[in-house]
Amino acid sequence: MAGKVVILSLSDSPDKAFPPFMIAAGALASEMEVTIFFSMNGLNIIKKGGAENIAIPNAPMSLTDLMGMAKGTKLIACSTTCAMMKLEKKDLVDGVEIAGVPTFLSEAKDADIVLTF
Amino acid sequence: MKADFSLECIGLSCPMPIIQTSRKIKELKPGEILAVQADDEGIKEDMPAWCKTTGNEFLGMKEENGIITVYVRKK
Repeated sequence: MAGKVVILSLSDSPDKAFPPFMIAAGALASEMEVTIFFSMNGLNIIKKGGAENIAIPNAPMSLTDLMGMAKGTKLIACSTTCAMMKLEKKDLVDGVEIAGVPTFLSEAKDADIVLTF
Repeated sequence: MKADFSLECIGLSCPMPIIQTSRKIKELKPGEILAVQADDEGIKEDMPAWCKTTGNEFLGMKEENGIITVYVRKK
């Protein structure tokens, strides 16, 4: 692996929801390992059916297509926010793990690049 | 420059050209050359950057009528 990127996704607004997956797709193509940790409104992106409602006019691809391009990214949902929003693993897209701050810190400590959206 | 393989990424926006390149280069043997054609201006900076990250060798580029061709040697 050429390095590791960890992204903290906190918002479901389109201008904050697309870039994590664009960077993740590019990082995977650059042989880097990628983890995205979703908390607060960022969780809406990985709720089943959530990404379908987040769109940017004239974007070259939809958010769901972009998420497909970033397949191979480790997706982690914040356990506290999941509890607040009454979300369980079955409510989230396939492959998401539920974990908390220590997991985020452990992932981020190993990373070469940490980004927040 | 003579390439062993070519990849057409015309009309594709970032990060697609790099994603396609990373997939295509898996078909090459070490030392073989891939030519990538694109019209996304970013490719001029992005391909050398991708090569630096992945260890493949950036050999150069040319531009004709808005089409940029970049050459990469597989590590």
